[in-house]
Amino acid sequence: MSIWERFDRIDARWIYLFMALALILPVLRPIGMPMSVNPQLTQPFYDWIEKELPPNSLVIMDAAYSGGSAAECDPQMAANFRHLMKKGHKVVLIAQWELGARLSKNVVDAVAREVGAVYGRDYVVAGWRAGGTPWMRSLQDDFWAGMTGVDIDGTSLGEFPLMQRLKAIKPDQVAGIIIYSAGSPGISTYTQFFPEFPLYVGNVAVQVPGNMPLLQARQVLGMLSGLRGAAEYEKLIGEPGRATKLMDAQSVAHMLIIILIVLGNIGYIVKNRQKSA
Amino acid sequence: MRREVPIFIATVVALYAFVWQVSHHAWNTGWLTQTDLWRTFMVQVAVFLGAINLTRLHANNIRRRREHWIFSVICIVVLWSYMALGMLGNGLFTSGGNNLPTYRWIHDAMLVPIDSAIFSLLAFFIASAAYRAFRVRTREATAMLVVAVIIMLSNVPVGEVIWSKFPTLGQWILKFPNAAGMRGIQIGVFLGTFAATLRLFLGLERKYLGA
Repeated sequence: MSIWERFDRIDARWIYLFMALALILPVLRPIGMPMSVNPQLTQPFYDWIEKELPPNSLVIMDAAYSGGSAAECDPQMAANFRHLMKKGHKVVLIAQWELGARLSKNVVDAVAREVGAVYGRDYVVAGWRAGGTPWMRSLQDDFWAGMTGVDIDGTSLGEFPLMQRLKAIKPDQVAGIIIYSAGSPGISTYTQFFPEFPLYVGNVAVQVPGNMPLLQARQVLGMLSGLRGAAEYEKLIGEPGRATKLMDAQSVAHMLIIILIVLGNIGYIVKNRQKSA
Repeated sequence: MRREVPIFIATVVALYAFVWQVSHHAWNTGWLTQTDLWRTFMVQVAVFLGAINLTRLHANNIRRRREHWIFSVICIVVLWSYMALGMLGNGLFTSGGNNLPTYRWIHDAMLVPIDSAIFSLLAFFIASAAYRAFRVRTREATAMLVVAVIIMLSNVPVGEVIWSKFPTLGQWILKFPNAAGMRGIQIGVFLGTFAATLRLFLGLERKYLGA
Protein backbone atom coordinates (compact mmCIF):
# COMPACT_ATOMS: atom_id res chain seq x y z
CA MET A 1 0.00 0.00 0.00
CA SER A 2 1.41 3.38 -1.07
CA ILE A 3 1.49 6.38 1.22
CA TRP A 4 -1.31 8.00 -0.82
CA GLU A 5 -3.55 5.00 -0.31
CA ARG A 6 -2.88 5.08 3.41
CA PHE A 7 -4.46 8.53 3.54
CA ASP A 8 -7.74 6.81 2.76
CA ARG A 9 -7.66 4.94 6.04
CA ILE A 10 -6.02 6.96 8.78
CA ASP A 11 -6.55 5.31 12.15
CA ALA A 12 -9.09 7.27 14.26
CA ARG A 13 -6.66 7.24 17.19
CA TRP A 14 -4.18 9.35 15.21
CA ILE A 15 -6.97 11.78 14.38
CA TYR A 16 -7.86 12.08 18.08
CA LEU A 17 -4.21 12.65 18.98
CA PHE A 18 -3.74 15.35 16.32
CA MET A 19 -6.99 17.02 17.38
CA ALA A 20 -5.91 17.08 21.02
CA LEU A 21 -2.60 18.71 20.03
CA ALA A 22 -4.38 21.16 17.72
CA LEU A 23 -6.56 22.28 20.61
CA ILE A 24 -3.98 22.33 23.39
CA LEU A 25 -0.84 23.79 21.77
CA PRO A 26 -2.38 27.12 20.60
CA VAL A 27 -3.79 27.67 24.09
CA LEU A 28 -0.29 27.22 25.56
CA ARG A 29 1.43 29.23 22.80
CA PRO A 30 -1.12 31.73 21.32
CA ILE A 31 -0.54 32.86 17.75
CA GLY A 32 -2.76 35.95 17.81
CA MET A 33 -4.25 35.85 14.31
CA PRO A 34 -6.11 38.97 13.15
CA MET A 35 -9.90 38.81 13.12
CA SER A 36 -12.58 40.97 11.52
CA VAL A 37 -16.02 41.73 12.98
CA ASN A 38 -19.08 40.33 11.24
CA PRO A 39 -21.05 43.38 10.03
CA GLN A 40 -24.38 41.53 9.91
CA LEU A 41 -24.28 39.45 13.07
CA THR A 42 -22.03 40.97 15.74
CA GLN A 43 -21.87 44.66 14.78
CA PRO A 44 -25.66 45.34 15.10
CA PHE A 45 -25.59 43.66 18.52
CA TYR A 46 -22.81 45.96 19.70
CA ASP A 47 -24.40 49.07 18.15
CA TRP A 48 -27.69 48.38 19.93
CA ILE A 49 -26.08 48.45 23.38
CA GLU A 50 -23.54 51.12 22.52
CA LYS A 51 -25.75 53.60 20.66
CA GLU A 52 -29.42 52.67 20.59
CA LEU A 53 -30.41 51.66 24.13
CA PRO A 54 -31.75 54.65 26.10
CA PRO A 55 -29.72 55.43 29.23
CA ASN A 56 -30.43 53.30 32.30
CA SER A 57 -32.37 50.70 30.31
CA LEU A 58 -33.52 47.41 31.77
CA VAL A 59 -32.58 44.37 29.68
CA ILE A 60 -33.72 40.77 30.21
CA MET A 61 -31.03 38.12 29.71
CA ASP A 62 -32.03 34.48 29.31
CA ALA A 63 -29.56 31.64 29.85
CA ALA A 64 -31.04 28.83 27.74
CA TYR A 65 -27.96 26.62 27.76
CA SER A 66 -26.16 24.03 29.88
CA GLY A 67 -22.61 22.98 30.67
CA GLY A 68 -22.08 21.44 27.25
CA SER A 69 -22.51 24.77 25.50
CA ALA A 70 -21.04 26.96 28.25
CA ALA A 71 -17.72 27.17 26.38
CA GLU A 72 -19.49 29.21 23.70
CA CYS A 73 -22.28 30.94 25.62
CA ASP A 74 -20.41 31.93 28.81
CA PRO A 75 -17.92 34.26 27.02
CA GLN A 76 -20.78 35.77 24.98
CA MET A 77 -22.73 36.55 28.13
CA ALA A 78 -19.66 37.87 29.94
CA ALA A 79 -18.85 40.28 27.10
CA ASN A 80 -22.46 41.53 26.76
CA PHE A 81 -22.92 41.90 30.50
CA ARG A 82 -19.64 43.81 30.84
CA HIS A 83 -20.71 46.16 28.07
CA LEU A 84 -24.18 46.70 29.58
CA MET A 85 -22.77 47.42 33.04
CA LYS A 86 -20.19 49.84 31.67
CA LYS A 87 -22.93 51.72 29.84
CA GLY A 88 -24.95 51.96 33.07
CA HIS A 89 -27.81 49.67 32.04
CA LYS A 90 -29.59 47.17 34.29
CA VAL A 91 -29.97 43.43 33.78
CA VAL A 92 -32.42 40.85 35.11
CA LEU A 93 -31.33 37.31 34.32
CA ILE A 94 -33.76 34.45 33.90
CA ALA A 95 -33.16 30.95 32.55
CA GLN A 96 -35.27 28.69 30.38
CA TRP A 97 -32.77 25.91 31.11
CA GLU A 98 -32.27 24.84 34.71
CA LEU A 99 -28.49 24.43 34.40
CA GLY A 100 -28.23 27.81 32.71
CA ALA A 101 -29.49 29.60 35.82
CA ARG A 102 -26.54 28.71 38.02
CA LEU A 103 -23.98 28.87 35.19
CA SER A 104 -25.06 32.36 34.22
CA LYS A 105 -24.96 33.56 37.83
CA ASN A 106 -21.35 32.45 38.09
CA VAL A 107 -20.55 34.34 34.87
CA VAL A 108 -22.21 37.64 35.75
CA ASP A 109 -21.02 37.60 39.37
CA ALA A 110 -17.40 37.32 38.17
CA VAL A 111 -17.82 40.22 35.71
CA ALA A 112 -19.72 42.28 38.30
CA ARG A 113 -16.81 42.00 40.72
CA GLU A 114 -14.46 43.35 38.04
CA VAL A 115 -16.64 46.28 36.94
CA GLY A 116 -18.05 47.12 40.38
CA ALA A 117 -21.68 46.27 39.61
CA VAL A 118 -23.88 45.75 42.67
CA TYR A 119 -26.29 42.81 43.00
CA GLY A 120 -29.85 44.01 43.49
CA ARG A 121 -29.14 47.50 42.22
CA ASP A 122 -27.51 46.86 38.83
CA TYR A 123 -28.51 43.26 38.19
CA VAL A 124 -30.59 40.45 39.63
CA VAL A 125 -30.46 36.75 38.81
CA ALA A 126 -34.04 35.50 39.07
CA GLY A 127 -33.19 32.02 37.79
CA TRP A 128 -35.24 29.12 36.45
CA ARG A 129 -38.66 27.83 37.36
CA ALA A 130 -40.36 24.69 36.14
CA GLY A 131 -43.28 25.15 33.77
CA GLY A 132 -41.80 25.66 30.31
CA THR A 133 -43.48 28.10 27.92
CA PRO A 134 -46.60 28.69 30.07
CA TRP A 135 -44.28 29.82 32.86
CA MET A 136 -42.42 32.16 30.50
CA ARG A 137 -45.70 33.65 29.30
CA SER A 138 -46.90 34.18 32.86
CA LEU A 139 -43.93 36.53 33.33
CA GLN A 140 -45.66 38.91 30.90
CA ASP A 141 -48.46 39.29 33.39
CA ASP A 142 -46.75 39.12 36.76
CA PHE A 143 -42.98 38.61 36.93
CA TRP A 144 -42.89 38.37 40.70
CA ALA A 145 -45.63 35.74 40.89
CA GLY A 146 -43.98 33.75 38.07
CA MET A 147 -40.73 33.77 40.04
CA THR A 148 -42.59 32.90 43.28
CA GLY A 149 -41.33 36.18 44.70
CA VAL A 150 -37.69 35.12 45.15
CA ASP A 151 -34.41 35.20 43.21
CA ILE A 152 -32.21 32.21 42.42
CA ASP A 153 -30.92 32.04 46.00
CA GLY A 154 -34.33 32.34 47.62
CA THR A 155 -33.95 36.02 48.60
CA SER A 156 -37.16 38.02 48.37
CA LEU A 157 -37.36 40.16 45.22
CA GLY A 158 -38.71 42.95 47.44
CA GLU A 159 -35.22 43.41 48.88
CA PHE A 160 -33.77 44.50 45.53
CA PRO A 161 -34.26 48.12 44.39
CA LEU A 162 -33.92 47.04 40.75
CA MET A 163 -36.96 44.78 40.99
CA GLN A 164 -39.21 47.75 41.74
CA ARG A 165 -38.79 48.56 38.04
CA LEU A 166 -39.82 45.13 36.83
CA LYS A 167 -43.31 43.93 37.64
CA ALA A 168 -43.94 42.24 34.32
CA ILE A 169 -42.09 41.71 31.04
CA LYS A 170 -43.88 44.47 29.15
CA PRO A 171 -42.49 46.99 26.66
CA ASP A 172 -42.88 49.90 29.10
CA GLN A 173 -40.57 48.15 31.60
CA VAL A 174 -38.12 46.18 29.46
CA ALA A 175 -35.99 47.69 26.66
CA GLY A 176 -34.94 44.43 25.06
CA ILE A 177 -34.16 40.76 25.45
CA ILE A 178 -30.91 38.85 24.97
CA ILE A 179 -31.08 35.08 24.90
CA TYR A 180 -28.09 32.71 24.99
CA SER A 181 -29.43 29.65 23.29
CA ALA A 182 -28.21 26.12 22.77
CA GLY A 183 -31.49 24.54 21.68
CA SER A 184 -35.09 24.17 22.75
CA PRO A 185 -36.75 25.83 24.62
CA GLY A 186 -35.03 28.93 23.39
CA ILE A 187 -35.43 31.58 20.73
CA SER A 188 -38.88 30.53 19.53
CA THR A 189 -40.36 31.40 22.95
CA TYR A 190 -39.53 35.03 22.21
CA THR A 191 -40.31 35.17 18.50
CA GLN A 192 -43.72 33.68 19.27
CA PHE A 193 -44.78 35.30 22.53
CA PHE A 194 -42.58 38.41 22.88
CA PRO A 195 -42.57 39.74 19.30
CA GLU A 196 -42.56 43.45 20.18
CA PHE A 197 -39.26 43.34 22.06
CA PRO A 198 -35.90 43.91 20.33
CA LEU A 199 -34.41 40.40 20.40
CA TYR A 200 -30.68 39.66 20.30
CA VAL A 201 -29.24 36.16 20.37
CA GLY A 202 -26.05 34.52 21.58
CA ASN A 203 -26.00 31.25 19.66
CA VAL A 204 -23.92 28.11 19.73
CA ALA A 205 -22.30 28.05 16.28
CA VAL A 206 -24.15 24.93 15.17
CA GLN A 207 -27.51 26.72 15.53
CA VAL A 208 -26.61 29.74 13.41
CA PRO A 209 -27.58 28.31 9.98
CA GLY A 210 -31.02 27.34 11.32
CA ASN A 211 -31.61 30.80 12.74
CA MET A 212 -30.52 32.82 9.71
CA PRO A 213 -34.14 33.17 8.44
CA LEU A 214 -35.02 34.87 11.74
CA LEU A 215 -32.23 37.36 11.22
CA GLN A 216 -33.27 37.97 7.62
CA ALA A 217 -36.87 38.56 8.75
CA ARG A 218 -35.58 40.90 11.51
CA GLN A 219 -37.28 38.82 14.20
CA VAL A 220 -33.74 38.65 15.57
CA LEU A 221 -31.77 41.88 15.24
CA GLY A 222 -28.26 40.70 16.05
CA MET A 223 -26.54 37.42 16.69
CA LEU A 224 -23.31 36.17 18.21
CA SER A 225 -22.11 33.06 16.43
CA GLY A 226 -20.43 30.69 18.87
CA LEU A 227 -17.01 31.40 20.28
CA ARG A 228 -16.13 33.51 17.25
CA GLY A 229 -19.06 35.85 18.00
CA ALA A 230 -17.88 36.23 21.59
CA ALA A 231 -14.34 36.98 20.45
CA GLU A 232 -15.62 39.60 18.01
CA TYR A 233 -17.65 41.21 20.77
CA GLU A 234 -14.64 41.24 23.08
CA LYS A 235 -12.73 42.99 20.31
CA LEU A 236 -15.48 45.60 19.89
CA ILE A 237 -15.58 46.48 23.60
CA GLY A 238 -11.77 46.49 23.70
CA GLU A 239 -11.49 43.81 26.35
CA PRO A 240 -10.02 40.61 24.91
CA GLY A 241 -10.97 37.68 27.15
CA ARG A 242 -11.40 33.93 27.11
CA ALA A 243 -13.00 33.76 23.66
CA THR A 244 -10.16 35.69 22.04
CA LYS A 245 -7.63 33.37 23.66
CA LEU A 246 -9.41 30.30 22.33
CA MET A 247 -9.78 31.51 18.73
CA ASP A 248 -6.31 30.28 17.76
CA ALA A 249 -7.18 26.79 19.02
CA GLN A 250 -10.37 26.85 16.96
CA SER A 251 -8.42 28.03 13.89
CA VAL A 252 -5.89 25.22 14.14
CA ALA A 253 -8.61 22.62 14.81
CA HIS A 254 -10.58 23.73 11.72
CA MET A 255 -7.40 23.63 9.63
CA LEU A 256 -6.67 20.11 10.87
CA ILE A 257 -10.15 18.95 9.82
CA ILE A 258 -9.70 20.52 6.38
CA ILE A 259 -6.25 18.89 5.97
CA LEU A 260 -7.73 15.52 6.98
CA ILE A 261 -10.55 15.93 4.44
CA VAL A 262 -8.03 16.78 1.69
CA LEU A 263 -5.77 13.83 2.57
CA GLY A 264 -8.75 11.47 2.76
CA ASN A 265 -9.87 12.54 -0.70
CA ILE A 266 -6.38 12.15 -2.16
CA GLY A 267 -6.30 8.59 -0.81
CA TYR A 268 -9.81 7.93 -2.10
CA ILE A 269 -9.03 9.20 -5.63
CA VAL A 270 -5.68 7.33 -5.87
CA LYS A 271 -7.31 4.10 -4.69
CA ASN A 272 -10.16 4.45 -7.21
CA ARG A 273 -7.73 5.13 -10.10
CA GLN A 274 -5.69 2.04 -9.22
CA LYS A 275 -8.87 -0.02 -9.07
CA SER A 276 -9.99 1.14 -12.52
CA ALA A 277 -6.51 0.80 -14.06
CA MET B 1 -70.77 7.95 23.21
CA ARG B 2 -67.51 6.00 23.44
CA ARG B 3 -66.34 7.76 20.31
CA GLU B 4 -68.11 11.10 20.52
CA VAL B 5 -66.89 12.10 23.98
CA PRO B 6 -63.13 11.58 23.27
CA ILE B 7 -63.53 13.38 19.90
CA PHE B 8 -65.29 16.28 21.66
CA ILE B 9 -62.55 16.50 24.32
CA ALA B 10 -59.77 16.32 21.70
CA THR B 11 -61.41 19.05 19.61
CA VAL B 12 -61.86 21.37 22.60
CA VAL B 13 -58.24 20.84 23.69
CA ALA B 14 -56.98 21.36 20.12
CA LEU B 15 -58.98 24.60 19.89
CA TYR B 16 -57.59 25.76 23.22
CA ALA B 17 -54.02 24.92 22.13
CA PHE B 18 -54.55 26.79 18.86
CA VAL B 19 -55.87 29.94 20.59
CA TRP B 20 -53.07 29.70 23.14
CA GLN B 21 -50.41 29.51 20.42
CA VAL B 22 -51.69 32.51 18.48
CA SER B 23 -52.37 34.73 21.55
CA HIS B 24 -49.06 36.47 22.02
CA HIS B 25 -49.73 38.51 25.12
CA ALA B 26 -50.73 37.24 28.52
CA TRP B 27 -51.75 40.78 29.50
CA ASN B 28 -54.45 40.83 26.81
CA THR B 29 -55.85 37.43 27.63
CA GLY B 30 -56.72 37.14 31.32
CA TRP B 31 -58.40 33.73 31.03
CA LEU B 32 -55.32 32.31 29.30
CA THR B 33 -53.17 33.52 32.18
CA GLN B 34 -55.31 31.43 34.51
CA THR B 35 -54.90 28.35 32.33
CA ASP B 36 -51.14 29.07 32.14
CA LEU B 37 -51.03 28.46 35.89
CA TRP B 38 -52.86 25.16 35.44
CA ARG B 39 -50.46 24.15 32.68
CA THR B 40 -47.45 25.12 34.78
CA PHE B 41 -48.80 22.92 37.58
CA MET B 42 -49.37 20.06 35.13
CA VAL B 43 -45.77 20.33 33.92
CA GLN B 44 -44.60 19.78 37.51
CA VAL B 45 -46.90 16.77 37.81
CA ALA B 46 -45.50 15.42 34.52
CA VAL B 47 -41.93 15.79 35.82
CA PHE B 48 -42.88 13.92 38.98
CA LEU B 49 -44.56 11.16 36.97
CA GLY B 50 -41.43 11.00 34.80
CA ALA B 51 -39.27 10.49 37.89
CA ILE B 52 -41.56 7.70 39.11
CA ASN B 53 -41.58 6.03 35.70
CA LEU B 54 -37.77 6.23 35.46
CA THR B 55 -37.51 4.67 38.91
CA ARG B 56 -39.84 1.79 37.95
CA LEU B 57 -37.85 1.15 34.78
CA HIS B 58 -34.50 1.04 36.54
CA ALA B 59 -35.88 -0.88 39.53
CA ASN B 60 -36.95 -3.53 37.03
CA ASN B 61 -33.41 -3.60 35.58
CA ILE B 62 -31.99 -4.14 39.07
CA ARG B 63 -34.53 -6.78 40.05
CA ARG B 64 -33.82 -8.83 36.92
CA ARG B 65 -30.06 -8.21 37.07
CA ARG B 66 -30.01 -7.00 33.48
CA GLU B 67 -26.72 -6.04 31.85
CA HIS B 68 -25.16 -2.89 33.41
CA TRP B 69 -27.76 -3.00 36.23
CA ILE B 70 -25.27 -1.25 38.51
CA PHE B 71 -25.78 1.94 36.49
CA SER B 72 -29.49 1.71 37.23
CA VAL B 73 -28.62 1.69 40.94
CA ILE B 74 -26.51 4.83 40.48
CA CYS B 75 -29.31 6.49 38.48
CA ILE B 76 -31.95 5.87 41.18
CA VAL B 77 -29.65 6.88 44.05
CA VAL B 78 -28.57 10.12 42.32
CA LEU B 79 -32.11 11.01 41.18
CA TRP B 80 -33.78 10.72 44.58
CA SER B 81 -30.92 11.73 46.86
CA TYR B 82 -30.19 14.95 44.94
CA MET B 83 -33.91 15.75 44.84
CA ALA B 84 -34.23 15.08 48.56
CA LEU B 85 -31.18 17.22 49.33
CA GLY B 86 -32.66 20.14 47.37
CA MET B 87 -36.12 19.79 48.89
CA LEU B 88 -35.26 18.93 52.46
CA GLY B 89 -31.69 20.17 52.97
CA ASN B 90 -32.68 23.36 54.75
CA GLY B 91 -35.66 21.88 56.52
CA LEU B 92 -38.84 20.35 55.17
CA PHE B 93 -40.29 22.44 52.30
CA THR B 94 -38.47 25.67 53.19
CA SER B 95 -37.60 26.02 49.48
CA GLY B 96 -34.04 27.07 50.27
CA GLY B 97 -32.39 23.70 49.68
CA ASN B 98 -30.53 24.77 46.57
CA ASN B 99 -28.64 27.34 48.67
CA LEU B 100 -26.85 24.54 50.49
CA PRO B 101 -23.09 24.60 49.76
CA THR B 102 -23.12 20.80 49.24
CA TYR B 103 -26.02 21.04 46.79
CA ARG B 104 -24.23 23.76 44.83
CA TRP B 105 -20.92 21.95 44.94
CA ILE B 106 -22.48 18.85 43.37
CA HIS B 107 -23.86 21.09 40.62
CA ASP B 108 -20.76 23.22 40.00
CA ALA B 109 -18.03 20.63 40.51
CA MET B 110 -19.70 17.53 39.13
CA LEU B 111 -22.72 18.17 36.92
CA VAL B 112 -21.28 21.04 34.87
CA PRO B 113 -17.83 19.50 34.22
CA ILE B 114 -19.37 16.13 33.28
CA ASP B 115 -21.79 17.84 30.89
CA SER B 116 -18.96 19.92 29.36
CA ALA B 117 -16.63 16.92 29.06
CA ILE B 118 -19.22 14.82 27.22
CA PHE B 119 -20.00 17.64 24.83
CA SER B 120 -16.32 18.43 24.20
CA LEU B 121 -15.80 14.86 22.95
CA LEU B 122 -17.75 16.01 19.89
CA ALA B 123 -14.65 17.87 18.68
CA PHE B 124 -12.87 14.53 18.30
CA PHE B 125 -15.79 12.59 16.85
CA ILE B 126 -16.62 15.36 14.37
CA ALA B 127 -13.01 15.45 13.14
CA SER B 128 -13.05 11.69 12.60
CA ALA B 129 -16.56 11.70 11.05
CA ALA B 130 -15.73 14.61 8.70
CA TYR B 131 -12.61 12.78 7.52
CA ARG B 132 -14.63 9.67 6.69
CA ALA B 133 -17.81 11.30 5.32
CA PHE B 134 -16.56 14.17 3.15
CA ARG B 135 -15.45 12.25 0.06
CA VAL B 136 -15.87 13.36 -3.56
CA ARG B 137 -18.05 10.35 -4.39
CA THR B 138 -20.78 12.28 -6.23
CA ARG B 139 -21.35 15.83 -7.47
CA GLU B 140 -23.72 16.51 -4.55
CA ALA B 141 -21.17 15.25 -2.03
CA THR B 142 -18.50 17.42 -3.65
CA ALA B 143 -20.72 20.51 -3.41
CA MET B 144 -21.35 19.78 0.26
CA LEU B 145 -17.64 19.31 0.88
CA VAL B 146 -16.73 22.63 -0.77
CA VAL B 147 -19.43 24.53 1.15
CA ALA B 148 -18.37 22.92 4.43
CA VAL B 149 -14.75 23.96 3.90
CA ILE B 150 -15.77 27.54 3.06
CA ILE B 151 -17.98 27.80 6.15
CA MET B 152 -15.26 26.33 8.38
CA LEU B 153 -12.70 28.78 7.06
CA SER B 154 -15.07 31.73 7.27
CA ASN B 155 -15.66 31.06 10.97
CA VAL B 156 -12.05 31.22 12.16
CA PRO B 157 -9.30 33.86 11.91
CA VAL B 158 -7.03 31.55 9.90
CA GLY B 159 -9.55 31.75 7.04
CA GLU B 160 -9.02 35.49 6.82
CA VAL B 161 -5.26 35.00 6.86
CA ILE B 162 -5.56 32.65 3.85
CA TRP B 163 -8.03 34.85 1.92
CA SER B 164 -9.66 38.02 3.26
CA LYS B 165 -12.93 37.30 1.42
CA PHE B 166 -13.67 34.00 3.22
CA PRO B 167 -15.88 35.63 5.93
CA THR B 168 -17.89 37.51 3.28
CA LEU B 169 -18.31 34.38 1.18
CA GLY B 170 -19.32 32.31 4.24
CA GLN B 171 -21.81 34.97 5.28
CA TRP B 172 -23.32 35.05 1.79
CA ILE B 173 -23.82 31.27 1.87
CA LEU B 174 -25.50 31.46 5.27
CA LYS B 175 -27.63 34.43 4.35
CA PHE B 176 -29.00 33.33 0.98
CA PRO B 177 -28.75 29.65 -0.05
CA ASN B 178 -28.84 28.41 3.54
CA ALA B 179 -31.64 30.74 4.70
CA ALA B 180 -33.68 29.87 1.62
CA GLY B 181 -33.25 26.15 2.28
CA MET B 182 -34.08 26.54 5.98
CA ARG B 183 -37.24 28.49 5.14
CA GLY B 184 -38.34 25.74 2.78
CA ILE B 185 -37.82 23.12 5.48
CA GLN B 186 -39.62 25.21 8.10
CA ILE B 187 -42.59 25.92 5.84
CA GLY B 188 -42.77 22.21 4.97
CA VAL B 189 -42.77 21.26 8.65
CA PHE B 190 -45.45 23.86 9.38
CA LEU B 191 -47.71 22.64 6.56
CA GLY B 192 -47.31 19.03 7.70
CA THR B 193 -48.15 19.94 11.29
CA PHE B 194 -51.08 22.08 10.18
CA ALA B 195 -52.49 19.26 8.05
CA ALA B 196 -52.18 16.83 10.97
CA THR B 197 -53.91 19.33 13.30
CA LEU B 198 -56.68 19.93 10.79
CA ARG B 199 -57.36 16.20 10.56
CA LEU B 200 -57.73 16.15 14.34
CA PHE B 201 -60.08 19.15 14.26
CA LEU B 202 -62.28 17.57 11.62
CA GLY B 203 -62.38 14.22 13.34
CA LEU B 204 -60.58 12.50 10.46
CA GLU B 205 -57.64 11.47 12.67
CA ARG B 206 -58.90 8.75 15.02
CA LYS B 207 -55.85 6.67 15.77
CA TYR B 208 -55.77 8.00 19.33
CA LEU B 209 -59.16 6.31 19.81
CA GLY B 210 -57.63 2.99 18.92
CA ALA B 211 -59.37 3.05 15.52
